[in-house]
Amino acid sequence: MHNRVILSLDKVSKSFASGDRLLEVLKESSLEARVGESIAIVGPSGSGKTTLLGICAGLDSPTKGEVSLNGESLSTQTEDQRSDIRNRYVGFVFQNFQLLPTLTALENVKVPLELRGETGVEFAAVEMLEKVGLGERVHHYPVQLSGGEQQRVALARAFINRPKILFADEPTGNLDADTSHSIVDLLFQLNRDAGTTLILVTHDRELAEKTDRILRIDQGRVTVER
Amino acid sequence: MSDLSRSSKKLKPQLNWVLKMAWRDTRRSRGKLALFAFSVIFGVAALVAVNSLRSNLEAEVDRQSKALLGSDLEFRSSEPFDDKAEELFSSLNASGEAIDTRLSTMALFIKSDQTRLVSLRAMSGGFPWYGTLDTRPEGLNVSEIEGKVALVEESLKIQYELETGDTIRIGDAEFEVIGELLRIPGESSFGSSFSPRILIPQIHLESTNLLGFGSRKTFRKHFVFENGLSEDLKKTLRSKETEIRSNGLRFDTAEEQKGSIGNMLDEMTSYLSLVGFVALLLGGVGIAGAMQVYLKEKSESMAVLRCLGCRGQTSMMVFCIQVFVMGFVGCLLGAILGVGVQAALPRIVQSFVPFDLEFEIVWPSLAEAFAFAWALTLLFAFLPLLPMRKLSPLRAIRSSMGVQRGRNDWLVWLASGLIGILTLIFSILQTDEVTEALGVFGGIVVAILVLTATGIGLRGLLRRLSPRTLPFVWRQGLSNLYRPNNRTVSLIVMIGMGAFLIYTLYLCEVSILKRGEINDQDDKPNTVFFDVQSDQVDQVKQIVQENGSELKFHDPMVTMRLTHIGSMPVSQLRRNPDYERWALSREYRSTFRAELREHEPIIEGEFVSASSLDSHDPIPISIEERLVEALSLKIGDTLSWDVQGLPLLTTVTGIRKVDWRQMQPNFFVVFPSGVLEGAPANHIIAVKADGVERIAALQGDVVKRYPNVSAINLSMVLETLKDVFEKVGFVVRFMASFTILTGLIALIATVLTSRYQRVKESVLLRSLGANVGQVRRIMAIEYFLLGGLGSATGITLSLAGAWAMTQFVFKIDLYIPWGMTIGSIIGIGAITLVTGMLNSLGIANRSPIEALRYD
Repeated sequence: MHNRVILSLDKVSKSFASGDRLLEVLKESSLEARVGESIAIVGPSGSGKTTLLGICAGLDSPTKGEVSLNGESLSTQTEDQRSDIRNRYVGFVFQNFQLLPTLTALENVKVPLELRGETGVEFAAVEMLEKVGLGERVHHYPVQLSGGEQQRVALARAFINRPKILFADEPTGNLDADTSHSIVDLLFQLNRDAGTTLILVTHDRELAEKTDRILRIDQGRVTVER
Repeated sequence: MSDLSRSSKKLKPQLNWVLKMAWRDTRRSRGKLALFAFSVIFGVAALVAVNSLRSNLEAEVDRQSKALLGSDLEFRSSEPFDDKAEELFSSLNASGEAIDTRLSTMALFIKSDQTRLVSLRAMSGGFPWYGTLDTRPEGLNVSEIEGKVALVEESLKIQYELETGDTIRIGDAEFEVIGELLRIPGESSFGSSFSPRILIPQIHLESTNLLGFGSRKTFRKHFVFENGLSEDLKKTLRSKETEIRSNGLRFDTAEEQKGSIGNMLDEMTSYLSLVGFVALLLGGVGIAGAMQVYLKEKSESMAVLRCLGCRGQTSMMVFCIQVFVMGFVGCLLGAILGVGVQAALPRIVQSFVPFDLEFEIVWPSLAEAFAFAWALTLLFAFLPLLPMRKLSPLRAIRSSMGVQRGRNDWLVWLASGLIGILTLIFSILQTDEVTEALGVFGGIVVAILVLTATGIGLRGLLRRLSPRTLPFVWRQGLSNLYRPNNRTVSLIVMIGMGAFLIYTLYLCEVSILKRGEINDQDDKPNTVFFDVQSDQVDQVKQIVQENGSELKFHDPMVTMRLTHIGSMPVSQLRRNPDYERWALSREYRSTFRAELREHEPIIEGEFVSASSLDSHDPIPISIEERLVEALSLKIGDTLSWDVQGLPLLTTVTGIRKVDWRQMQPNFFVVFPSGVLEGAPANHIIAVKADGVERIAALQGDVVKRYPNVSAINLSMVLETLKDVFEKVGFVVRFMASFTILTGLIALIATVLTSRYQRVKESVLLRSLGANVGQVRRIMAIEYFLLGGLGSATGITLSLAGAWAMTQFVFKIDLYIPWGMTIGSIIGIGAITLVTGMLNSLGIANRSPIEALRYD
């Protein structure tokens, strides 16, 4: 782990209009993540975990406060600029895998590189799929894969562009216990190998315990639990 | 420059990736994209076919412009040309001239002893100089033959089994048949359906002794000039037009003939174009629906791509390319089908046009129709596509994150505006009249507004009533119509627009066809004798009685011309658009009677039964309603007539509605008794004769004794008319079928859009214990209400739309087949219901968990 901060949130608030009133989901929350660090964000349902993750990853903008990723202030970027940042520095793993159903496993993994305009990426993608244990399933479509296999493809896709930071939203939420363990092991192994910062949102206490730090979010405020 | 900006440049959308992604992305959705393409095929086909046909016709009219008249200049008159006319003719310095005298008369076919009303043409001179007289054997021209010979229309030869060398008697003269007439330049075979043509040499017309009687004659003289008709001469003729007309002469140039044929063809094709356009608009509704279904499925993938770093415009480009390509494929298939249809159309419309119509692909016209259809297709597809560019990547982690609604998106408004502008431009191009185009456009806008208001109204009403006492299934079905994410308004608008457009067209079609439908009733006359002279009336009636037939009507007919409306001479009103030219310049054949008949009731004012020339007041007359409109008349207006040289002042006291479909003598103007009795008159005698043989015998008896009298066998006319209207009906229905096919596809696409709203609810209900039957009944109630209300509103609107179209565009009475109207409301409701139920079959049959996973 380095001392360099890759992600910082400074007094970030987020509110939504709900009918006639304003619902404040995040209240002046701050956090910092260093290069190579792993952080779990835990909290009860509806506490604002996913909102916080969306803002950290540049998927959403805060109502107030500053967000900076790899030294770039996200608050001043346009949506397209944030897309570019995501493509270069960010990886995602979703609870429901979110593979593109019309693409094969191999094509899904290639997408982040292809979006950069890189060519000849087939070899790297196959290698990554072999790494996650799917060397034999490269030409299968998502519907032909089990949940665990789909999440492995998602992991391969998340790491293919060597992201500086990986956001995982309940990565084991849709998997059975056995599959969950192997996916978690794989996630942390890939994370260590690539030296990626990992921010994961989870309800799973056991999973959270595997990270360097645990942040709790409750009623819109972020506190350090460990 | 920062690292990021440098890398941004690298991240510019890679076209080959976008193309690759666009192709890959279709893998699981080709059916839906096919629906997208299918929505446009029939609309484009109809448009391409009609536009190409129109171009074919225009090109042919241009190519044959001179052949449409056969000469450079033609003069005509209902009286023999007098010295003044001959003086004008000699001043023209023409290089050639030809005479063509035409009259309706009876021909007696000696071999079969049968008679038939024919159009006799006595010809001399070199006509036609342009185009050819098609005959069998080839190259026959009666003008060049001195003997008493006749060329007879092909249909006559077949009907009376005539052979070369047979004899026909016309008036008092007999002629030897030398061949068949196939075509005269500028005349369609349709024109001669009722009165087939017989050509004889002009020098023998005198010997028929038909010229002395009051039969309908037209004297024509054709002229040809060495270098065509000069501009100077045209100008001179124009400047002298009033003087020429006052001398009872009319003239036509090839250019004018081309213009009038062009107008006729325009009218014929504008309805067909409207059909194509409606099919295309409906296709647009289908496209928007199909695209919405497609994008609904794609929104999550799009959000994932955004998470992976794909820019908004890049992900949009993926779908834009799909839309462009599928739109292109749909339009291309439509164009190919349209060319196929176009190849069939000349055969169908051939009898209505005065030249041989060849199939020819008119590339500019095809390209124009294609481009227009493609543009409209893309705009309709963009309506649901454009808001997707604002899809938040957050949707990948939070499925409730929707897309910004189109109503807040200026680009959606722009696309809608462009659709409106394209619609307006197309309407103007088709109708050639801005007011009519604005009417069509306004009608569509009003229909959309009314349908939207109906949908909002239904939603509000159900929300307010909230029927708590109804059984669960009903409560659920009705509540679905106002709960969040309901598609009540959009489905009612889409179903209603389909019903409105298709049924408006249908009502126009039946009203047009109804106009040509003839009332063939048993007690009505079936044979009419006309051109009966006053001194022949009693004898003809005697023959009718001896034949055992029943005399139905006897109407005297006095020819006259209109000279003034109020104090304005008609010559000054000709250029006034408030007055229709035909009504100002026609020769009126008016009758006089003491009473009106059943089929011509007074709708305004009164009918005065008797008057007198001794009265100092204008003579009270009754005018038919269409003429009232054509001459912008009202009760109390005065009209001055030239009754064969005598001026007569009249006043309009009554307006009659005449049922022109009644096969009996009908008149624009009816005078009271006591005024025209002394004027030279022809008479029409209408008779009811039983059986074909008795009709033939009666015709033969009258014609042999009075060769000047002509007879029409109405049964034969009726058959001809039915044949003609069957042809017209076929063309209209053939084209309308394209609209109906597109309408069905649009309906399927529309209903499909509601699938996603209902799938999850239905599955959740099933997991909570609802059985398949209950889920189906809930959906059935919802679809039936949406379909029923959409179609009822659309069809009610179509009554207003069709009224406006028939009143202002086609200028005919609206005919509403009520049974069909109510049947259509139920039918469209039922089709919506069936489509909705078929569409949800899979959902109800699968286990809840399987369905949830799938969708």
